Amino acid sequence: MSYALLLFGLSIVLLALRVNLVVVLLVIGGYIHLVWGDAELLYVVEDMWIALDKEVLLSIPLFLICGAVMGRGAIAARLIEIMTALTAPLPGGMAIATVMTCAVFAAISGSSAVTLIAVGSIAYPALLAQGYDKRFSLGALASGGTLGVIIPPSIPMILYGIATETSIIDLFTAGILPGLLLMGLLAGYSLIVNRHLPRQSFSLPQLVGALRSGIWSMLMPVILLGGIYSGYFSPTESAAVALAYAVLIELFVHKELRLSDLRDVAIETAIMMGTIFPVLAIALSVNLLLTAHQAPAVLAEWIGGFITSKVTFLLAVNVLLLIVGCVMDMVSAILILAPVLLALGRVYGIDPVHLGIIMTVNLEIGLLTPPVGINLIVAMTAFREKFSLITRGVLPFIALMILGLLIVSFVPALSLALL
Amino acid sequence: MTLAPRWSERLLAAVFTLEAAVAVTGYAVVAGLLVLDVALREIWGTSIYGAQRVSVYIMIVTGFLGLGLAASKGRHLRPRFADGLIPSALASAATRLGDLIMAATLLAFAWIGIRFVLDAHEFGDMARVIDIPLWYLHLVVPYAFVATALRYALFALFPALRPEEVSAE
Repeated sequence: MSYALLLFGLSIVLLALRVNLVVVLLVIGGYIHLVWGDAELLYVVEDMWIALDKEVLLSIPLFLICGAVMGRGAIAARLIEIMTALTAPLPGGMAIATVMTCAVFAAISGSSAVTLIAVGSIAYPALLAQGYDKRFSLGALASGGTLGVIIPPSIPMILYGIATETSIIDLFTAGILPGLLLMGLLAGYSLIVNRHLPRQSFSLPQLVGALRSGIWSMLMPVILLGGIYSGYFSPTESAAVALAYAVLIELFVHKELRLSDLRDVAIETAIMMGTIFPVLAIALSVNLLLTAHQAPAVLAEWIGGFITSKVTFLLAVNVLLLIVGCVMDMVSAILILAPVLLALGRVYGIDPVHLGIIMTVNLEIGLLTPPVGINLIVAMTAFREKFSLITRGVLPFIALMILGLLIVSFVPALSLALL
Repeated sequence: MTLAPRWSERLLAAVFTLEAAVAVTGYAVVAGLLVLDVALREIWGTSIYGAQRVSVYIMIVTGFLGLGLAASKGRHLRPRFADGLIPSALASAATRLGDLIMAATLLAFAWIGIRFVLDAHEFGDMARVIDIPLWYLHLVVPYAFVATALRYALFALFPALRPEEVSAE
């Protein structure tokens, strides 16, 4: 017990000294090996190599490159044109179009930050020009951007799948209905709040024109998700196909991407991978050791003594993850907590795929909660608005997403029906 | 804040350029290989032998290089909930001490990385499919730790070199 307390104290001291997570995990991994393992630090490095030596991980850099390509090209603009033409007759049509565009864009890019920047840079000025409240517009965009992590393909789901050895295709499939539910909640709220704004008339020629110029963008999620769900491509292959498709249409159809942009995209991806991969490698290495010592099972048994019902457990998990989402980024939270929560979930008969979706939705909300809400920070930088204004703007959306989270948590069929 | 000597800026820029060039080439090769592999399979019913395995090895190498690239751009993940434990007047000193700790820890793991390479060499481990000695690839491990330790050591010595932290998803 005293060794565990020492480790906890050491971790807090390192974090207080602004030490990066990757080094904190190296220290934790080394400490665990020295105190409870075989006192051989070489295993930490060996396990890191083994953790990265997996074909499925190839999908992560490919989706990141794909998202970055799309962020620089014209796919977002074409999607917004189509959605705006479709929703024009509805009150709050432009806001609904924004949320729907975020959902479709997210279904291709797999990243919430890319979705927010790509869609927001076009939709935000358009929303303000059409008389939408600034606070509402910022809230809708920051919240719509989070759909990128629940609507497949999703990088956090890939990480959850790797950390818990759960089928990534099952996770992708399970994310569809919860993603649509959240999109529906956000769009419905946009409609109600903006009911007083003047509607625009529906124009078939405008819709046809938008579809004509945006058909290549609309086909992308069809090819990508259709390929995965039909079993035609593995997630890794689908990422490769999506990347090739995005590059081809941005270079030769939309003609808004230059070859020099691709070099910048690759450098940006290398940096993002440098952020994710070492943490992934060390976290999986530590998890391997903890599992070998049956730590998650022991913890699950201990917690099982306090929490007796499945309902209480689900509520406790949601509260824990919402708090974690406030102070920790999504990648770290998934890699560190997923194996432990999986062991706990088994005690209460929760399907690993369902738990993955619950975890993803919780941490999706964490993208909007200060101080670490990444979408708040991205929105602040991208739209040059005050942090406090954006934070107030997302509050009603957070409330709606928590409602969605409760539905996802207590109606497992919503996640598991399509499996 | 003490200005950093020019040599340190040039050194960091040179290391970044080299690593970025290797990483860009690596990702271009991985993307090209996988796209071509799928295209060949779907159109001509054939495939590139070992495309995924080669891609995995390239990804591991570029992933380790990313350790230093992310450090040079202030992009490593860092939970901030414990920041308030140290008074803001001492924040700068705490950051420098943290940088020194990171440099020392990474150097220690670089030493372990060297043992990792030597072990693979001693046992004659071979990379799957491409059939080259695995220690060639393992060399990236000590390199990545040393290159990242160098960065943090320089940040501790010359805080002006330290990039502004950027939160990453």
